[in-house]
Amino acid sequence: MSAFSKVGLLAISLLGCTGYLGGGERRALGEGGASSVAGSGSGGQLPSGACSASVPLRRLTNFEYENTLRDLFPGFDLGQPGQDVPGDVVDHAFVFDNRASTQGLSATHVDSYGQVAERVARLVTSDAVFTGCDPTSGTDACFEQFLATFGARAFRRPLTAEETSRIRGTFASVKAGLGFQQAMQAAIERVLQSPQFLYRLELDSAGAGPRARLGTHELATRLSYLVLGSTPDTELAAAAGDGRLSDRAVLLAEARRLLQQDRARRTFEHLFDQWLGLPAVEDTNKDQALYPRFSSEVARLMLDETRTFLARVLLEGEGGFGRLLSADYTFVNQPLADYYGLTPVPGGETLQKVQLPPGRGAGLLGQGSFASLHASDKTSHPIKRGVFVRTRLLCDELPPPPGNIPPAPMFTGHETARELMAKHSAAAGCQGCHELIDPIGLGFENLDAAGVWRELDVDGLPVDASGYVSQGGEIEGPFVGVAELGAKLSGSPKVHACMARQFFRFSFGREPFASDGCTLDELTSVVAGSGDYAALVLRLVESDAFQYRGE
Amino acid sequence: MKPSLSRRRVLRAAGFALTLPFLRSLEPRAARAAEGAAKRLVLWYQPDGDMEEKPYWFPRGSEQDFLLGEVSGVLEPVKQELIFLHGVHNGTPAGDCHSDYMPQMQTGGTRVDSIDQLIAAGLTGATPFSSLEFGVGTDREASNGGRLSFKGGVALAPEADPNQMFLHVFRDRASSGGSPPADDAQAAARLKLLHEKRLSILDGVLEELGAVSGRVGQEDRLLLDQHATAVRDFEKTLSALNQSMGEAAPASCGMPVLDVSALGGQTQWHGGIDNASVPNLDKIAKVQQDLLLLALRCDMSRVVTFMYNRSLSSQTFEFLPVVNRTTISHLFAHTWRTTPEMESDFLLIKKWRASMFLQLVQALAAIPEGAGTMLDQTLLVWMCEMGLGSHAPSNIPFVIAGGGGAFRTGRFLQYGGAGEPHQKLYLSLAHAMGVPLASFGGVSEALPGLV
Repeated sequence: MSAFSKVGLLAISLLGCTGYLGGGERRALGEGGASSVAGSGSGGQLPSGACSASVPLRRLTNFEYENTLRDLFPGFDLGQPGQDVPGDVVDHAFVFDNRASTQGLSATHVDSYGQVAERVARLVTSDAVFTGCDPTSGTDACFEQFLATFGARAFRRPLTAEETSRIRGTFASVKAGLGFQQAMQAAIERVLQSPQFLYRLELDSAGAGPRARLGTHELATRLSYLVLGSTPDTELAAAAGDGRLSDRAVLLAEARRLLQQDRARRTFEHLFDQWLGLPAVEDTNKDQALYPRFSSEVARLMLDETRTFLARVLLEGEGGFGRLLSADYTFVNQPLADYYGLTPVPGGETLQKVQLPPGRGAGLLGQGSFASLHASDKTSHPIKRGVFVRTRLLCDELPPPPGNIPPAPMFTGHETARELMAKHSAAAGCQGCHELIDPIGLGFENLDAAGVWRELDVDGLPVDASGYVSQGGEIEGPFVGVAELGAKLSGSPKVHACMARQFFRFSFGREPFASDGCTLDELTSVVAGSGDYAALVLRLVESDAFQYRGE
Repeated sequence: MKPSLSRRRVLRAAGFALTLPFLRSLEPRAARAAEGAAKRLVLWYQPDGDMEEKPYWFPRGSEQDFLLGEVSGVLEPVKQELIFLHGVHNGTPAGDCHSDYMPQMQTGGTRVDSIDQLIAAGLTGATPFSSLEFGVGTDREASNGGRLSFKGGVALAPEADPNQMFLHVFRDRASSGGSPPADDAQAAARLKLLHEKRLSILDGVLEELGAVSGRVGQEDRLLLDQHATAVRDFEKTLSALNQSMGEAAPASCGMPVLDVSALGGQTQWHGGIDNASVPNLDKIAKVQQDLLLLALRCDMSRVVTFMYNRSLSSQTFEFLPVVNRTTISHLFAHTWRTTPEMESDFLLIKKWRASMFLQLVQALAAIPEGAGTMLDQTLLVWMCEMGLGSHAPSNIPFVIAGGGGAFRTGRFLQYGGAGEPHQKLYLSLAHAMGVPLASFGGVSEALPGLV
């Protein structure tokens, strides 16, 4: 019996208890209200052995930090505060920018958080409409009112009496020497540098213990950062504040509402940009003697193509995860169709859906962005392509290349990639790993280094796009060309599990442990059933792992 | 031989008269050793090792009498200021060569504290910044494998944008055009209050971190502890800057001015490993090195890491007369041997970097300090994470310039047999800086022959 079916049953019975399956019947749980810092909790405790997940302490990534500031201070020109802080650590194997264990701060972070806070505070305190307080003649009472509202939004829950008193202390001491506006600024600066703002703390204020249901404010925060990459909006905060969010149906309804927002698409793009490494396409250079038609404009269109494809397939009902690696269509405008040599489409900038010729449909694996990104300036690069499939789609961990490797053979214009690879990987000690990588990468040989389909290789030789997957479980064995590879991968349980794993990493900021198998199984079933992005998010939100504290 | 020639003048002249260095090399190199500990350390990094099996880098000859190769020959004008090392290995290689050797090497395999940070922590004379990290075309977001400096397990990212670096180092002085805006008493008092405000906010953050830290699990606490350390470090910087507000900057500092006119319109500063290449890299390098010199002249820090790109970099070199204008750094490192054009291109790249090192040595030697020049009191170390771009951790092309009064220069030191691990060299650097580090990366002996 797989972990999934066991836990699946458990989860369904739990959902039944809360009335979710009954169609959204609301239950007012706990006391709720603005006075509770954790918000309403009391969703009970998960039985021992039920599916739960520990969630590490997470600092706002620069993406989330900037989104959050924009949402806290709407209408102000804040610049790009996420760019003013040192870049996030992006672990090669982890792929995403939010790995909690790598989020340690340096003095430069502290400095830049302070500078951004000063800049923002100066800007917003000069606006009496925003603060409700006149910068020159504001009163302490006015400040108190501002602090209660602003503090609750920034900390994503009401301030405690102690916190209010501390910030009031900062305000009072600065006011004595520098006046009201500076004191307001200091209070805002303090909030924006507080660990309560910079981290998503899930302190168990109520002492509910492990496996207890999260408080409503904590749930709201998890939900909002998952879907929007930002702080809860007024509606969600209100549902947390009055305790309604403890109702699973309300939580799900809020998740659906947030998924409809434009900001949700921004998070979706952020996820896939990182997973697939897409934005780097725009930095790609090609040898102009070999690929005179490739340009930064073409690269930009290729990025558009893939982003449009992802949105249509995963957000707009064009087939879900099952089409990601097997769609026999893509989205191009006239210049891009010309570049690829596809059937002309009507003029204009807008990308339109076009059917691909037979044998070329492999979803994003057949697109120019993938092919030209995973290539050198002169040749296709079967190693890069194979490594992408292995690490990003199959979640394999490849051992590092050995020391003292022989020089890579050079392309002089007359060698096929297959010939070059054969030379390079023949050496003793290289074959083991390259056997996992190269035969997959060689299956992409119809796509040249600049992303264009070709039937002929160097010196007019026909392209040989035969390949095979070794150590690939169900998909082990030979294939010819990207369409066959895409079909193999699309049906592969290993690929489904890997996609679930990538989403898990993105959602939890850590690698899954063995105990997360139950959560991964839930997510995998969405991918395997060709669900879309919303289905994946909703499945996570309704899971116990999302709603309850870990062990 | 002209005994009246001061070293400074020679170094200035060296770029124009190729015969002068030869004269220079005939001069006896009296040991400046034991004059005292070196005052500052600059680790100058370039990626992907060297072109080892060709006679491009390592000198040939004996300790005192040696000839330079085609790449190292760029440094001929300052040969007597240098110590070339042969046979020093990366003693702590593990994991992926391109994404692990850099942090492995700098931390001696611990991935907690890098040698520059260990030395910075041991220095007693406080400068505003315990260390500075400069980048040229370095990545903004990287795995820790793309970093050299670590403190308490946290990577210290280099700053690749000179404008940002200038503001970072000079702050109020930068925005007020050199001198602190303390013209009238009222303004000075206000500035003091603003500084106090900053410090009191940070104290508040520390207090909150302390309160929260006891309520989270052990792994989460590590993040909060790292944060608290970072706040304390930055408080020290702020306090030191505040204290120096009223004081005169060192005479050699003058008015901090950054000339970025060569980089007008530049918007991209960060490179990476995924195709990102930074345009005008040569101009950025020049400005960053000028800024490094300025920071040293103003004694803003005594420990600096200066980094050119990184291992696995996607940098291209179209600013040099290379044939392969779109070929990236990483590919050059692996394929330079395969065609004559690749080889000559790679030579151009290596020689360009060497010329940047030369500029730095010459510039340091042109700034008077104490009885001599700034170079005399500086340990400037050319370093690399590999011996060869093809992943070999052996025989790293280290060069030490200046000697900091602790090491005798103008030499070529060869460590035969199994060679020596780099930990010994790093331990020697610490000792030369007056930091009595007992061991580094599991090694507790210094590198023989340097003193």
